[in-house]
Amino acid sequence: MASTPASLRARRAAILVAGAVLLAGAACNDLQKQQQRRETVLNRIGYGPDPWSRQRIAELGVAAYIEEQLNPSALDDSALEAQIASLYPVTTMAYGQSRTTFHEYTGNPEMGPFIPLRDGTHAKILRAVKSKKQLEQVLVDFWYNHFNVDALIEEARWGYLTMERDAIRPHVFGKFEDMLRAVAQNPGMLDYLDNSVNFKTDFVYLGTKRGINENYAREILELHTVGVDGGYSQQDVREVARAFSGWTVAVTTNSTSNGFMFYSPGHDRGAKSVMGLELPANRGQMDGIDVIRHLSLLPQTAYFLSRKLCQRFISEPPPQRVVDAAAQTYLATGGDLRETVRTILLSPELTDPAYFRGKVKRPLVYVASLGRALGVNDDHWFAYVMATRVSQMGETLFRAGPPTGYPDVSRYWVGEGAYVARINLAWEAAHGNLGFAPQFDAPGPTPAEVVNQLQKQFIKTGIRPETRAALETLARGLPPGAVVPQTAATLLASPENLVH
Amino acid sequence: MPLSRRAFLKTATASLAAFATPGALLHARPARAAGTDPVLVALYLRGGCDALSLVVPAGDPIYYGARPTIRVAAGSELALDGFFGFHPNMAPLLPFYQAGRLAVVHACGSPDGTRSHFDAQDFMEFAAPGNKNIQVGWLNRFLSAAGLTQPISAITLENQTAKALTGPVSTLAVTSLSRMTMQGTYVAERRQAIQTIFGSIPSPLLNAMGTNTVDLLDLVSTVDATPAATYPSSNLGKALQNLAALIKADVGVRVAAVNHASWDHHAYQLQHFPVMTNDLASSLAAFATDLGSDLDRTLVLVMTEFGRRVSENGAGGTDHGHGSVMFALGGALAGGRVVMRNDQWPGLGPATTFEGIDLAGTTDFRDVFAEVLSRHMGLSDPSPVFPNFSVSPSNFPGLFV
Repeated sequence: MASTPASLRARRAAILVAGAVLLAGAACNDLQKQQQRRETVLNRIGYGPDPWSRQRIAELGVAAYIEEQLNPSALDDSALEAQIASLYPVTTMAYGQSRTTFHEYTGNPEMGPFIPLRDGTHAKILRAVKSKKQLEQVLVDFWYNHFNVDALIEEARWGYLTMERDAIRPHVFGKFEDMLRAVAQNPGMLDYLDNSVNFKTDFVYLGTKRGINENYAREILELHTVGVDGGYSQQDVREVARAFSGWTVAVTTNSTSNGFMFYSPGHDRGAKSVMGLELPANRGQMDGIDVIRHLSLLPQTAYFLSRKLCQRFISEPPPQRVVDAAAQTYLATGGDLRETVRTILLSPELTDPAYFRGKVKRPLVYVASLGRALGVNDDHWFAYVMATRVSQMGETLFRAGPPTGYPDVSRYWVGEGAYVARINLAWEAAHGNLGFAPQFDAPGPTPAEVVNQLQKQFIKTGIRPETRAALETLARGLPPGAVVPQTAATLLASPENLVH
Repeated sequence: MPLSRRAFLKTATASLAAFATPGALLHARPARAAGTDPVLVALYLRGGCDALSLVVPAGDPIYYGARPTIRVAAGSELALDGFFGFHPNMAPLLPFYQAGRLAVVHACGSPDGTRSHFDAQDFMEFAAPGNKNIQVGWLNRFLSAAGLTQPISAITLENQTAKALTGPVSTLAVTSLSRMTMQGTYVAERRQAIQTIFGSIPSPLLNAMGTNTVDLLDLVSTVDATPAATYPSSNLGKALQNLAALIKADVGVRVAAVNHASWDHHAYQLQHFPVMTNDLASSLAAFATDLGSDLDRTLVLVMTEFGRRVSENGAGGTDHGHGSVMFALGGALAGGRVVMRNDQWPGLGPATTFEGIDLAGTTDFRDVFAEVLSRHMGLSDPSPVFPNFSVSPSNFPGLFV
């Protein structure tokens, strides 16, 4: 028998998290409190601090910084977007163009059907690290994950990119109804949840007899709007499926096509009834449009979406007061997402110490925050390597299999295998192996000074005395040339850097 | 063999209790023959596997009428007992069935009628149908009940802990043994610092992650990962290969959770289902072969959240249904049988199906779980594992007798 370390055989205490704080902060004075508040905002509403955002939030103050992030059109990302367009041209293509360009494998590996996924992943990583519109990037990720399409399913290979760019991004500060409708008409979503083959009973489409398919209908209720406890029945699922019958993918070589088609001969023209909404017969595509409006404005939807947003930005479980306030804003504004998010971000709970460090960073957040903290000197190499590392930690971008997307729950992200990937990533990053250019502020000569300087540079919210002591012990035992990178690597893999 | 194995289990359980002091086990554990503790592998087919395609009720004519384009062609099924037959791509598992090492439970399911994947999966993994307040996995409750509270006792072969294993007992989650190694230089020094830092954290979630990781790094370096069978290169094949290495090394793993994703075939089922089934059957057959004599103490229980609609839909697929199928492989099963409540097939017609459209679930999945915990894992009283449910051996489906 192989030997098993004693501690793996020893009893460990409960791992369920009842409260919000995963890691207490160090005691601090008012100035430190103000700094902690700023850093918490940068950690929560974006992918962590970088030099620009630290300076900006210091100039504007917390409230004005949040306001600018909520209205980001004046922030200039043009150089970044030009770079992404040049490195990854597929990210600028219409659905039809992407499909015609990459659908047929020509023998040139750069033209194969996996290229859109690779390049879209790289673009997402670069935006997370370099965009000034940090809140927009977080929200685009949040809503993509809310709707979720696995990017290797049929038309989603091209459609996932236009879902992110055309269906979600333009609406993260707009009306939820508009986002929901755009997603419903996205060819990736249509194929992923099978509405592309949802037709009236016994309808023959492209030579095959079809019928009602419930998949999308069930998930628009359960996952996209009212939630599983939203009060619908199997009959409602059936009626929603009938309402969306005929919403399908326009398979075309037209390079400007967005991939959606309402095929009216396959639409079930009968009257329908969906959760209190009566739809008379013969209204064609308006059935689906009206179902989307109706579901978008239901109170169950307001609470379901507000709860998820609060869980992303504040804590898990989220504080009920903010959930209620955000849902009220949502209902009062007809589902305006800018106003709803503003209610959450301007709530005192966002930076309340009671919720400090309440969440484990998801892999993309961890990876992007390292890039932002250390600086990136080779964008393409960085994006390329980070895509594989995020994957090793269990969050392969755009590839969540189930329609729930990835769970936004800390305990989902704390596996031992995934943590080893974080340890190794932090080490490589601190040694400049990953397209990072680690710039360490010049530290003093003693171990205490080294640890102090690294903490001030990377974790301004502070570290626990136990962490500090262990890092000083580590630094004391290392030869001079190894002290800074090895200590930095360990600090960046420490619990204080795993949470936000 | 079953009798002597069960007799040993009682002894083993008793001695575990005696050595429950932290850190005492490794040093004070009495000498024993390697590889005798029973192991349970819970393999979850995510998405709702189509029970009627996996284990075809070939003796029921309604099946063929309800599935005009996606049925398993009559006569092509692998006959099991004159009524049921395996899907042809289950062929790698047929020899295990014929040798009495594999048993099927058909028309099993949940008393809750939800057709939501996520609710149905939760209800099953928490063994609490219809109750959303219970958020502790059934296997985690088993660990508590059996006193198997050491982290090495249970592992999810994924980056994330399976819901069936979440709860107060700390367990492990690892996708790849070969990646469980710290890269770079000054590994021992950094490893020590990480252990100290995490060991001082009050949050059990982070404390367990960090300290378990360090311990696991040491453990994995001692495990011989060479397989004694050829696995498919799929995720499932890799997960089972890693798991077999841990079981054969006898490091203390007693419960494992493995996932097999993508059984939600609303469309083009004839394209997808055979590929999934082939991967499932060939991965499991390799696992059983690789385990060798360790298969005697290892039971794989295969489950899914629900079966699918009796009638195919308009897209060459099937929508969410109700009653499903489970099967078990290994251990001391009395296999080579398809087991049903009262030995009765509930039928596929509107009068006897669930809500007139789906296969009924006549065997409560909790009775299957309870029998496995009782008769394979040797848990004398499984009641604490099943909230609001009365465990009674007279309701066990009879996988072992």
